Amino acid sequence: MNHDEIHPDTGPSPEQFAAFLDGELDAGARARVVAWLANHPSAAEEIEGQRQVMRVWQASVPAEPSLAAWAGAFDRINAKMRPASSYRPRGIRRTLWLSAGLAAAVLTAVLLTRHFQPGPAITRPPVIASGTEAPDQEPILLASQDDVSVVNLESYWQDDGRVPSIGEGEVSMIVAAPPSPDREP
Amino acid sequence: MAVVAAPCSSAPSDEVLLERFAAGERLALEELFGRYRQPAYRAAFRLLGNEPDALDAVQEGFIKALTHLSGFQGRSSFKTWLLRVVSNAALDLGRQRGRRETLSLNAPGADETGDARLLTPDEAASGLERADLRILLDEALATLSEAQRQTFVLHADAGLSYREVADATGVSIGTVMSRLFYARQKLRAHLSQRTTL
Repeated sequence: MNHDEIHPDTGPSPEQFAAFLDGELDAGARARVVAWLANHPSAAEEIEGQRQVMRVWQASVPAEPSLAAWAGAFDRINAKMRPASSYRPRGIRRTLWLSAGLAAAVLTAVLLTRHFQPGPAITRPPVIASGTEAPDQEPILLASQDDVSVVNLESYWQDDGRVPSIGEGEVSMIVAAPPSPDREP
Repeated sequence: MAVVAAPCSSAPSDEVLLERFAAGERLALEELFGRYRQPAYRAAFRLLGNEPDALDAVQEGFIKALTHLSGFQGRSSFKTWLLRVVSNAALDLGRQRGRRETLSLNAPGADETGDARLLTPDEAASGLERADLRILLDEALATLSEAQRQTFVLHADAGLSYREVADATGVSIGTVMSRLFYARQKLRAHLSQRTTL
């Protein structure tokens, strides 16, 4: 059955009546509903009553808020949105988080590297004694601080099988450099 | 000579405004607000019955709609998405603040002895009885189911088409049409007890 046709027993459907009242039917469908209503006075009364409800409804449109009320509403919306002024669509948001994480990782790496680099601030006499020496022995100078560089905490220089160390209780920094050929330890 | 305001073809689309808003442009938010505040307010007012609550619902709706744009994702228009969120916010607010209870204490058309009098459609439609009429309509609206109420105000007050109401409420166009019919039928039944409708 075509949607525009009227059921011979039950008459127009609720959907058809709604479309009729809203002016959404084409001319042919509208004429069929009008003809059906002409033969069904109680239904016609109901539809006319609904039309009046719509008329009264439209006549009671609420008054607009004042401009000040609108401005206040907008300011409150704007204030709520401001903390999220970094609002971005989901994809951009994810990229920003990844970028921030990457930046934090790089910054951490730089700080750690700087912390373990020998520099002018290191004033203790360098370096370096055999790890097998007795604790009360004076460290034996191997090189000045300008002649050494940081390897890392785990990567000890083991050129002659010994583990260089700074001294008892001071293994905060392991530095190593091959002894200069023209310098005796 | 009659002057007819032509629609401004250079007005930016909602999508453009949303992009500008995302880039932090305050004016874009202002433009979106100006564009849709009226239908949003009308729907919210009908569902809540007073200006302060309606404005609260509009505010909450705008904020939610703009901070949850991922739920919109262009499946419908921004207008439809916004009005859906605003009407849901209004229904939530109405539940929280007990709108129906408030209304029942202010039954319109009743005099001090409690006898109801009838309002004619003309009387009702005139501004003279506007306050009583609004309360009467509020009462009638409260007799509808939530789904019928939302459908009805989105169509009658926010001006959404059948298609847009269907998108906003997640039902078929046929369901929207039948809800509208039964909503009007119920409204008429309620109003006919107090008016000559």
